[in-house]
Amino acid sequence: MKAVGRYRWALVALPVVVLAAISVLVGPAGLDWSAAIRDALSGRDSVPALVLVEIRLPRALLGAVVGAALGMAGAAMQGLLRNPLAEPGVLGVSACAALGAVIAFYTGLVRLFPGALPIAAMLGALLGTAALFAWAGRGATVATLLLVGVAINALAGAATAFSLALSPNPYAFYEVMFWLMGSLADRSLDHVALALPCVALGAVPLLLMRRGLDGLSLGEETALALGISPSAVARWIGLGTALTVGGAVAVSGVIGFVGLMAPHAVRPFVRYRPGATLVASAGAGAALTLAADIAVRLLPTGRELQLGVMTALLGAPFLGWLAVRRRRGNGSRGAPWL
Amino acid sequence: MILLAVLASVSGGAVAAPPPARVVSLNLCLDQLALVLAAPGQLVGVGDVSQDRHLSARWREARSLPAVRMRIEEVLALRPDLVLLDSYAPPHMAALLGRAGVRVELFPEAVTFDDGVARVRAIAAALGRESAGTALADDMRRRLAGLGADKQDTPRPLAAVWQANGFTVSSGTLPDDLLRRAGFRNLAAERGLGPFAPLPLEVLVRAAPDLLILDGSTSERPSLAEALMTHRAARHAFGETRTLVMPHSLWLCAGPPNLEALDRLVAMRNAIEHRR
Repeated sequence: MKAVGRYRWALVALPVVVLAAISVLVGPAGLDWSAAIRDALSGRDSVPALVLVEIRLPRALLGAVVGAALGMAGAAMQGLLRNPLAEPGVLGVSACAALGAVIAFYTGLVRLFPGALPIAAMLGALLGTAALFAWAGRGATVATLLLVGVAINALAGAATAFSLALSPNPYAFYEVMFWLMGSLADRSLDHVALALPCVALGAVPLLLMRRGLDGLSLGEETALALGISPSAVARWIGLGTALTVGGAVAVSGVIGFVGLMAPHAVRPFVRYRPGATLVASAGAGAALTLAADIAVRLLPTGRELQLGVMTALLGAPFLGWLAVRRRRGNGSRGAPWL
Repeated sequence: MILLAVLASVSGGAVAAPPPARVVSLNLCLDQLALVLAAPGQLVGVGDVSQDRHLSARWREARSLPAVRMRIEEVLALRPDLVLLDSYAPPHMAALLGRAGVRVELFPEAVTFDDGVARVRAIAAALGRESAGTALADDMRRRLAGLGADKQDTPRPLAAVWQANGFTVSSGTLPDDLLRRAGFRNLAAERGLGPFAPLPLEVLVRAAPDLLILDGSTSERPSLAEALMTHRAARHAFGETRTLVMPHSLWLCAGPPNLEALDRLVAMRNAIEHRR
């Protein structure tokens, strides 16, 4: 049993490590790898070392961190709401995080205190999650959840554009694209330092609620009988979702559909247990985001495609397919929400 | 009569006429020259951008005048007899002003220091202030000669301009002309890039130019576009001694402030040569 557990960890980690390595290999120009690694290890600011450490490494790290955050948050939301279409991007939690980040950034607050960026994003995500759970919490129909999510998403997106239009900076208004269709282009280790602690912090309550999610999947009465408080699970999942999504969106903008696709990709491998889905989905989210971020750099588009555009190109048809499959009623394969 | 006035202005404005009494200028670059050249009270309005201290070298003087946005009603409300426009102004603007009986002077693009000198003379002529124009143009030439900028004998260091959103400027732009005059080679021009082209951070770092020139800020408030210029990789690769922040007001528009830009560039070039 122990050996199987280790094997599963490798299944989660291996694609992420391989894709992160490929991500580091992709760039607009070749790199002297031996010099880059030698100088990076000895701490010399040579050109190859700078390109490797300050430009390519942060992008690969952020792909993994942001993707893992979105994958885990998506799995947590789907598990808690017992709804296969739940996802921070589709339901507006990410857009609320972006709104918070935009307010902190463009008012100049981040110049006084860089941490204001992820903190404001997490507060935004927390508000979005609270609104979503309050108006369409557990037991709400799929349609209600999606409609409330669409409203939150639209409102947060419009408020983001409005906030940007209020900025006296002439470039601000044109940056709405970054916030609503995110990107990992030209991010630095500073951004890794901002996002990673928030995502790690948010993952703690999510992972602690694994058993709670498993219990809830058996129904509220069974959960209560097992000593699990559904409202406590909802609170901690909401908090963890807000922290992970806020930390990610603060540095990458909204990258939609990763949290939708990742849990579905791994669920058959974890026997449809929502608790086990969390970790596996984090790995799948990281792999998916890294792969999409590699693709936008390799595609022959004149200017680099936004990462959020790429994930939407993949994820939106998937959402449609899920919805159609549900409607036909042939999706039930042992799990109550599929 | 109106038609004649329009025709006269379109054909170069060389017709002897009394100097215009109420002039509105509607272009950041024209405004700054008009503010220097116009007689007291002659200029009655300038573009609102000219009041922005991040972009305009003459923002203080501009703030004593009404700011005009590119709206025809606002312009007409000032009852101008001459409006200065750049050749990229919306064509309907000049046409409508002409139909309203207002003389319009269109000025071609100015992308070199010499264009700037020529523009000084042309604006002065339009304002009926030829002697002021000649004085300023001669002063610009004299100060340029005094900078010792045009020495091209020693090996010329390589400079790269990096602006908001990671764009660079190449041949056919004013910064390129000023870089050459200050004795630098321009990375973008050597690579054959278009006048305004994206320069990826990684390519910039790998090219390792001797000097990195960053744009000054456009606002007190931040933007992602401008935050990119402070990326750690650029900071570490160039450091303070190889980085120059150039305010927009010094080299966005051709004119006297270019001399200050040249002065700063020549100082950086001397420092680079000294280190070698």
